[in-house]
Amino acid sequence: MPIFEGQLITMIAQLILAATIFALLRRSRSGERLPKIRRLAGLDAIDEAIGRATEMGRPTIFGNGSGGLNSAQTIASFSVLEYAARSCARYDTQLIAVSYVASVYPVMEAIVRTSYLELGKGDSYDPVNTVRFIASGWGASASALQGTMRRERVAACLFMGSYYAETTMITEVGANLGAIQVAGTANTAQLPFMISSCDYTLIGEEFYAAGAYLSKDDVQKVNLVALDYAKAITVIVIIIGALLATFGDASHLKNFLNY
Amino acid sequence: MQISTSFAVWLTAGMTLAIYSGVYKENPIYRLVEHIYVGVSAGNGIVSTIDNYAKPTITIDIFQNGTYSYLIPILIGLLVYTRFSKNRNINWLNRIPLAFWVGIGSAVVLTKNFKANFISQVTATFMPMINNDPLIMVNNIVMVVGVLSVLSYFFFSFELPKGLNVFPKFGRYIMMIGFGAAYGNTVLSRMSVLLGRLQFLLGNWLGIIETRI
Repeated sequence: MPIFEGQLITMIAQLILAATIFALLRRSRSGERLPKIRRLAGLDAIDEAIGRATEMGRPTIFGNGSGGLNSAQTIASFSVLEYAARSCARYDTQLIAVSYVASVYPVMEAIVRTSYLELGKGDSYDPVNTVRFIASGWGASASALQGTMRRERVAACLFMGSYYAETTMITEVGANLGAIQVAGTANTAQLPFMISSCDYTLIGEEFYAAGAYLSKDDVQKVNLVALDYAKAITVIVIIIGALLATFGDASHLKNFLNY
Repeated sequence: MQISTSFAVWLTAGMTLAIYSGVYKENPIYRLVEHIYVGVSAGNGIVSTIDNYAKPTITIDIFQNGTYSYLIPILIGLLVYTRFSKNRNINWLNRIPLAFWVGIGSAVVLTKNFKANFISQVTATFMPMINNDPLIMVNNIVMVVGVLSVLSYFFFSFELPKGLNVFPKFGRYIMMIGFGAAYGNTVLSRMSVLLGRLQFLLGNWLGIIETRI
């Protein structure tokens, strides 16, 4: 069986993307400035939410949904968790980071613990209550998360990750408690519920941009810029394809992309 | 119809009402059922993992079929538990299975999802914008312009030239229309779940209404 059967264009596209990222990274490291990332209100609101929780003396809760370590959304959520942990450690605000997935839990714990230690707030990190594995399965975890939010009377909710049917169950509780809620997911079926019950929602790729936006890390920023180039090329391909389909035949272009 | 005499039905009805009581406010009965739910879910997860994955792999694949190569992922998986060790020379080993997990996940996304989720959607947008049927024509134009506008909304590092900056805004409206439709669709499907519970409470438990179950 040929290695690239039906995957050749996929491989070439990814190699071009990788080369673009590499070239941009080299330019960035040689001192050239990268383009500025546009303002994302949802991410700016994280500081507002944690600030409000600090003023009220109530906890901030962070959840990253049901995705495992093989989910891009879970990986993207780690940047937001690190940022939230650092902010909470800085202002001595209680952070409750909850996990539903056993494999994700140790990574979250390592991120939060490291963030506290780096800010010299190792004493504020509670190894039992800061990062919690609440339950497995979306039904039980939604129930446990609802209970935790109500009992701890959280003032800020950050829900970033792969959420499914539990979205409404948990965000409605947050809204009921009067907490500032910032949510982000790439699961389009859940976005309407986040938009209707949260104060700020990061839609799809805005959520993936969070890492670059919050961390100011050059590697992540370069990835985002390279993906913008990829999107610009996609726009051009779609325009060419639609024009070919309108005035001629787009089947050659379709076959080429599926080669 | 009459009220149920089954203990299981009474238990299920009681638990359903206890969970619904959380809608009013957090209370000890809700808390009790919440903890039972979490406990049962954890127990069920452990048992189903052992029965469906661990046992068949060890007894059938390894011992009966002699696929000894499966011992390698098992040994790598067991390294997860080294995180419980306080010895720093050992507990770093738990990062090896996690790195595998992330690596395999990324590889699957790159090789399998790219074509299915990206290229197929790009080619599906190659639609003729002139058609004899005006409805099909409008549909195709909305599709192509909608996709391009939504894509333009997700440019983060550069702004579109002045004349074109209407597209991201239009893309946002298109997304909101889509989300509205998805919201209505999901709310209706959730209603059927609620109806199922109400049928159980009013039919199977209290016997007020007829049920087919």
